[in-house]
Amino acid sequence: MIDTEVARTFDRRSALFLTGGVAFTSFLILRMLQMQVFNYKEYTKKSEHNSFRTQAIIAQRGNILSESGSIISRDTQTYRIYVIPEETNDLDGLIETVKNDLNLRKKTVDRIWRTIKKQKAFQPVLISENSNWNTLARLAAKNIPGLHVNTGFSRVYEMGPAGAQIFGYVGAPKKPVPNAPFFTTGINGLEKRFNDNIAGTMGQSVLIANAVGRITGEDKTQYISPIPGHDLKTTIRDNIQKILYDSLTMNRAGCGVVLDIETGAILAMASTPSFDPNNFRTDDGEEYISSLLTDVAKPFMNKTIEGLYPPGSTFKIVVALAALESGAITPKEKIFCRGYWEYGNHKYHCWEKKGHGWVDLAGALKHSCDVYFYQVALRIGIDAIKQMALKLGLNQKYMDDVLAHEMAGVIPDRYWKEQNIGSSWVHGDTVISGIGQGFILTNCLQLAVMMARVASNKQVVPHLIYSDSNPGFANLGIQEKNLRFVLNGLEQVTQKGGTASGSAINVNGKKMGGKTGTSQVRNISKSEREKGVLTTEQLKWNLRNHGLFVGYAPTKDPKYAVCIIMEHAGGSSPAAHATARIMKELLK
Amino acid sequence: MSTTTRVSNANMMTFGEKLSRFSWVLFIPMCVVLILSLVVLFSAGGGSWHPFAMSQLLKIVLGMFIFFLVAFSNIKFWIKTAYFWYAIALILVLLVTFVGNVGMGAQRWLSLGFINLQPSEIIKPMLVLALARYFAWKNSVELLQIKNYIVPTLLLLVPFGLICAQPDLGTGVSLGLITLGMFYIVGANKKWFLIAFVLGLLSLPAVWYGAMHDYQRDRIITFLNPDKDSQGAGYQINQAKIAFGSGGIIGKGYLSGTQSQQSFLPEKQTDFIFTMLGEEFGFIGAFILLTIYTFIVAILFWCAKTCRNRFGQLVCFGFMLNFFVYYFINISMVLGLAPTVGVPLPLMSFGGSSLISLLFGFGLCQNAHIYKDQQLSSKGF
Repeated sequence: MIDTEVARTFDRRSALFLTGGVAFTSFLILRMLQMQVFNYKEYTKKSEHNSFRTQAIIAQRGNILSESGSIISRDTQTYRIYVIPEETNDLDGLIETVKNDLNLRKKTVDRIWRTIKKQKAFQPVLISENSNWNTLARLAAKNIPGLHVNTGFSRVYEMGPAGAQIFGYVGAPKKPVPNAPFFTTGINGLEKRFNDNIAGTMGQSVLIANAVGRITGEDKTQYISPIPGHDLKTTIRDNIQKILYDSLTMNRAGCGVVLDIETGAILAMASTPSFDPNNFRTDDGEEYISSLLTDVAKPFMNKTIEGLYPPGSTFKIVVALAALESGAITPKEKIFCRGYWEYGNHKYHCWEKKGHGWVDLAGALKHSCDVYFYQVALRIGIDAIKQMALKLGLNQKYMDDVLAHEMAGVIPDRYWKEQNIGSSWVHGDTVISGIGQGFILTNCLQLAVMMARVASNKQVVPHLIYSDSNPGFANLGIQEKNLRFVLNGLEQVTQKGGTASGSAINVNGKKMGGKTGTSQVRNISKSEREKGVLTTEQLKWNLRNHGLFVGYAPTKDPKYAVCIIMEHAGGSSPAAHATARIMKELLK
Repeated sequence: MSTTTRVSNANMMTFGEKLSRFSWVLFIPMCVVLILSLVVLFSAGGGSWHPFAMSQLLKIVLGMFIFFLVAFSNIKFWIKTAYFWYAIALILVLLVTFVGNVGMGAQRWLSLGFINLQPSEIIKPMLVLALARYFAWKNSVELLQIKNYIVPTLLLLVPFGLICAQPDLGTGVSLGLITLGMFYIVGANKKWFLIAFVLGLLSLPAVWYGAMHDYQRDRIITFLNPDKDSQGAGYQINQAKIAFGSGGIIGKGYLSGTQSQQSFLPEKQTDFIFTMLGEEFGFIGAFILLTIYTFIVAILFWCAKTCRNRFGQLVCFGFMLNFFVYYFINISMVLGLAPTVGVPLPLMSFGGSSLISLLFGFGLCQNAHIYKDQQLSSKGF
């Protein structure tokens, strides 16, 4: 038997152990309840995050196509090798290995380091694209932490700089898409506006990863296959687009639009200086982009709709038609030009100092006589001019649902001047409006539309996205005979003695008519000079007049309308030459 | 008071008599836990007998052999050889300190060719045995004298120091708690505990800066602030908590624990096996295991309480403490209530040393239960 006292101690003191045991066990049970019952959801969320790695499968973007179906921009399959800096402890060693294996140039290595420093550590940094597959496979087999190889798509811009502002380009989205390295979205132009159609729908593959991030399998039930994007077919005719761009590059800056009069299809649209988005991803891409951004000639601007120019003498078409329709003049009526016209206390000069002598309507258009149009404008007044300008399609936006930043321009009247300038309309304003100066501002596309409408007497509306159906434009409602008188004059412009006689064409008897224009550059250069952003040389260039030409062809049964603006070209002949070159190609 | 009864009773029990006294109520829950361990280890192997379940089954067979050998042995043998076994275990601890294999930053294993022995597990039942042997024949007067605690304190401190230096904090703390529990139940003066506690607190800074390894400090810092470093030192415990918590009430289903199966859960077959159980069988599974453990502790206490000799009583009580401390530290640890110290879950974790040491301990308790009505002397019967 056990000593009674010892036994009593055992009984007494074991109570503490029993109490402790119950307390400790309850403690564990409470903790289990807390974790598995009350905080169950929170832990489940963490657990799902833990084991599944969702990887986006990027869909192939649709192509941007020309009118004939040839490719303007396309996605091409590419093998990419990239690094995620935060996944490695030895970034220097990794870059060194990759450099040796892929024979990277110093420039490339510099670019990689620049990107690494610029980005956050979890963001992927492209090492090489379209590398040799065998080389990539060998690198991938080394299983270096932080180094990844994937297949994806990269955008190829077949047109290069010809219309880059219109077609746009793709780039990394502002908000990075998780689990989709090198995902791109439309940044500019059609690529941006039609991104929803072109981009397609991302798929996903859910990989099962273990604690150290090694992929152990795939959860096939969660797989979603990507849906490729739709192609976007434009009205662009690729050979015309190239010729237009090429012609524009003869001058430092400018823009041009080619229209199919019957359908309103934009066959070509280009703006210079331009850029080649294919260069963005190269090792020099960053420098390239920053040089573009600092270029005063604004390469990213689509000048055909964003650039506003005084239409100059091309506006005489509007004035002539307005005058004929109102009956204020007859085509036969002659007005004497002595090189200037005095009205009020002011002397209004004709561009021809010697004067044109007696000129009728056709002669005034052919020689672009300013004195004739000063007087005609004053006769009919600004309201009639405005009415005709609007009828011919000026001061309107056409590309609002297709391209961004379109500017409507200005066709002034009394009310406009009071609101915007703050002073009342004077006769002098009407006089200079007669030659497309003063407050009038138009863009290149509007002038092309104006030309198309005059040539067809139809309410031509331009479009850039291809459509099978013919819109069938309504009649413009201008008297045919009046149009005939004006077109007569425009035909003579390219003939001997006309302002564009050097640009006459004859393709199997098909000829071109048109109107030249030079417009004074005032406000822009003045304000820029005040800011002091321009050097003397640039200033000189910047102060020169813009040269314009609006043309249509063939003169009999017109099919095409063109507007070309050469910034600071001094005169209109480069624009007229370019138009002739395009028309020749179109009429072939 | 009267002196301790030292009645010699040379009465030899036959095997049949022993079998009739065998405690099935202690044996069966033990077996249930062992079977459960195989079930969970099968899952830890990714739904395979390899590499854990089959290996563990063989260890269980070996352990059961030792269990029955001890349970049906003559208790006299253990009284006579108690210090000897303690000495053997201590020598193994010494050996492991100098020639042991390093695992997880600690010297813990002794490779015997066919088995990796972890002496820190072996010493636990041997310390209980030695302490029971020492205190069993002390009377109530002796038990109040401090001099009678010097030898037991040394019995603790020598292995305690060596094991903490390995460093294996978990086992060290377990040994300390078992010894303090034994001191308390035999009737040591409560003031001594208070003094020891104060001394312990005062020595904390010295231990923190002088004796502890960096990784131990890391673990304690991590325990106090687990979200600070969820990928580094806190990784293990964070993953364990995620796995356990996401099990919910009924669990993710057998073989379907996403965390354990995808090896997010470190050490899932050893120290963190409770987490895996919790993930796959949920609160219900974890609660059932805890209930069985509690039941086993209650039975061990009942064995101690009903034992009519002091040696058997202290063996049962000491082993009960050992068993409780084992699973309490382990579960607290995996549930993030205690720092990560390497303590396995008794009868569940993969590994031979802990299992054999536990089955040896259960064998001793069964043996004590079989001999519970015998009067024993320090020389034997």
